[in-house]
Amino acid sequence: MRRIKQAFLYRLTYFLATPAFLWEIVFLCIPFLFIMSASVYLQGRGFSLAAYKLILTGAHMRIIVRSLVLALFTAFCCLVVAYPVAYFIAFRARSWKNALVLLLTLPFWVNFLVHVYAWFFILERNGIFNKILLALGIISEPLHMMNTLFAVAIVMFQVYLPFMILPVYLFFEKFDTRLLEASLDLGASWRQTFWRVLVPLTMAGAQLGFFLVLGMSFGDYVTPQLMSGGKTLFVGTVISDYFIINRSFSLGSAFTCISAVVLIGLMAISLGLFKLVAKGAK
Amino acid sequence: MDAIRFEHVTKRYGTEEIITDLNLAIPAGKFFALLGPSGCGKTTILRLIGGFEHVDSGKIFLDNVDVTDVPINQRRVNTVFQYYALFPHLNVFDNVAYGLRIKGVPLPEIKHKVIQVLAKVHLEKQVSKKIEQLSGGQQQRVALARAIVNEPKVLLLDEPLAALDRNLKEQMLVELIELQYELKTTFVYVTHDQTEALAVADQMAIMNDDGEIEQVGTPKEIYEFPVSSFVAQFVGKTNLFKGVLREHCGDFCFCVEGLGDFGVVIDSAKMTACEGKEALLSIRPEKIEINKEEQLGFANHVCARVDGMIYHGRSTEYLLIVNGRRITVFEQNEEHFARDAIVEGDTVHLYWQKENAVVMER
Amino acid sequence: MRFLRRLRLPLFVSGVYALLYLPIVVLIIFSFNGSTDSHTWGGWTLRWFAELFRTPEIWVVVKHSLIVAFSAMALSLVFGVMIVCSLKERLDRFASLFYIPILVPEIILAVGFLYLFSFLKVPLGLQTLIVAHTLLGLAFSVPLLHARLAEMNAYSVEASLDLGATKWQTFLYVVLPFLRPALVSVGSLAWILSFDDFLIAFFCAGSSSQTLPLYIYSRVHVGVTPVINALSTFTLLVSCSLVILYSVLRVRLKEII
Repeated sequence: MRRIKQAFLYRLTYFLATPAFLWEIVFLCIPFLFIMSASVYLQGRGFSLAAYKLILTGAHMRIIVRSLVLALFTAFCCLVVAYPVAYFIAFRARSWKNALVLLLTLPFWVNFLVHVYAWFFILERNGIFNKILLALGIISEPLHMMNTLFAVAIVMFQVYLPFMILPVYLFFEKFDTRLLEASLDLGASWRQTFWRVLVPLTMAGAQLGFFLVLGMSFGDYVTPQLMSGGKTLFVGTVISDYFIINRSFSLGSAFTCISAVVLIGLMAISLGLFKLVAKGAK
Repeated sequence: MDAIRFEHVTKRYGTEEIITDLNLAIPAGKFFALLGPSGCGKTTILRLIGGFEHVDSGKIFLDNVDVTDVPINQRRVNTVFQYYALFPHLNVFDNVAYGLRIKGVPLPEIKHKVIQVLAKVHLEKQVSKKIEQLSGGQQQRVALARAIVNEPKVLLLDEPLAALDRNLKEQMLVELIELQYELKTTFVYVTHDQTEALAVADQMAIMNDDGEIEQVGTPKEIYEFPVSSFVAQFVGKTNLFKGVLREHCGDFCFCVEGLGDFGVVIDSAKMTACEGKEALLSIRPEKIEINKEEQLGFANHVCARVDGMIYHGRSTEYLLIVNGRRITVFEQNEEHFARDAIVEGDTVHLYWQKENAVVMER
Repeated sequence: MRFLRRLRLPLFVSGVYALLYLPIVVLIIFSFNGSTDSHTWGGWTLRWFAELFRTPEIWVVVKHSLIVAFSAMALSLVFGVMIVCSLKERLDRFASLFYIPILVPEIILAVGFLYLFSFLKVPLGLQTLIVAHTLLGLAFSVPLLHARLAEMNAYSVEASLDLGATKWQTFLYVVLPFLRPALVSVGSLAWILSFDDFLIAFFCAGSSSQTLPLYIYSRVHVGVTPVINALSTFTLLVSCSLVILYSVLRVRLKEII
């Protein structure tokens, strides 16, 4: 009886782990397989790479590159801004620290869509930004900001910024400030200490944030759709068009696969760059 | 010449004054120890020397140069931190080479110096290891190497042996002494462990809980001639008796109520300071002779009963009682099988020479 | 002059926070706008809030979103705790793999889900949405709970058993309380992710069950009234009060104990 119970308990551990694993396999891996297989299966013609040929030679690559550049630009700007902010909160804020972290998380409670929609008010021809500039006399005619790449970029930057600040801040928190003292003691200036000690040891946070923002901005559907009026095409809008409007599944799947591969490639390159920076710190 | 001089230095944390009007001179080229109980401010003094803290008033001089406003990275002072503060993302070589790289020393010279200093701390074989792969003792040596490779004028050590076990501690103490002797750099060593301080120091200072320096001197001076009961009790163990100092035709004697009058040796300055007032008499436990039979030739004598004994291997500690007072005596265990051994409950005779006791005002 | 230099960083950070809150502040202000024309200011009014509470369709979608969010949160927490406590150190190598769903662009996930559900001939609705959001929730739940559990002193479990508790009691009284901070943060993350999600809902929710983001999106295209603003202000208010309530309760509890 006891042996049966022991065997059961042993199995129990693996049983408990099953739902999570199952979820990943059924809802992550299998859908990927579906997408990949759909991209090479054309209705009526069976296995074919025609979809890929079409995508790789057409104007699609330009769209992918455009989304890439935008994603990179957004991620990079977020990184550059996030570092000083995280540094400030972690080391300089003192009594304000908890309040600042809380303020960082509050915007998440407002719906993403509503956030983007609010930018309408700000960037429109008779929106707030223009109204203020006109009133101050800086410009004589309202600026045309909506439906431009600029609008997409700035909204993306603002919306994804907290996603970069939080991971970076998390790793700043874990950082042992005594190492800064040690570096200064050994003769390094603040700038040298920053690059040789602080950056390498908080890099993991920067990496996490960078990849998070990269992935989110690359495949973003809402922001380009609303901010560029559907005129300029990005990866997110194209994929959704293929599946919802055109219903051309194999093309859509092929495009999805290619975009995914490109993104992974970009992430690999970025990872290599990060490692380079860490090495240069020595 | 003084390596370091504090002049009227005061340091506050909020409203609390940690150090008040401190004047301290640390001689150059020697192993200097700063000993005191936890929280007394000794680490603060070290951090003031290193530049990690700023004085609220007063000046600090390094080699007669005023460094009070000089930032951390510009002082020719290096620190071995209590928790080592080694850079986890760099291996042993890179950690030690850090200071040299900052200065822009050419690579071949860096290699040469780092290998040389690692050999001094017996870590030549661990050059490319990562920090997490090292034991506590090895990490401590890397921290040491990292500091001394920069050839600082003064090396600050903040309780560096605190995290090591006893045997390793004793080993490291010897290595530190040899290192200082070889380098001839001024070492400033902060600790709350008196055994460490007594062992390494050429010169030491004792701080009390209020952040004041009670006494400065060689370890021997401090141990044998403490100026206050605080020093006498903090460094080693002692027996303290309250009494009054009196003079009888050129001879001085210390009168303890209920115990007797004891002859003491005292200089005239102390005599004038203590005459007529209540003072303290300190006798170290190892300076007292214990015997079952009466002995002749000793100035001071007390009869007591053995209340307890603690065996320390090298010595035995006797706890005695006389007239409600406790006295402690240490005796070396010189023989394997002592004849006529003392046991609990025995009445014994205690003797000491008058030169071996110290009179103090407080 | 030196004083001004020291102000550089705080000024910069304030600027960043101002940018972060710019749309929110605009939103809140316009929820009180008197005129229906969103571009002109027509005085302060509360009518949009009144209309908000009078529009039943909004509350239906809010209810849907809440159901999905809470279910997804619960499932990801429960499954997360299960796998983390059963595998413990053996999960070390795999824990980071669970991050994949959030690193992958959401749209790819959404497409994948669409394929899966149509292949399995599962009707799209709230259930499919819950399933999808649980995947996202697990992406945070597993790695973060695993990291938290790794910080626990192994001796706590031994001490509990030594004092006579069963494994289940040890789990309830020792392990779970230790995990609590991570559970709270993971739970809130998973909840917000689900409540906020637009893209996956766009693909997988089906026509019968709309969630709040979907509703808002449909209104944005049709013609917006500041009711949407009022709704956002309302949600912000609710979340702020929840946060304040939580911190006040924590302090009060500490005082009592």
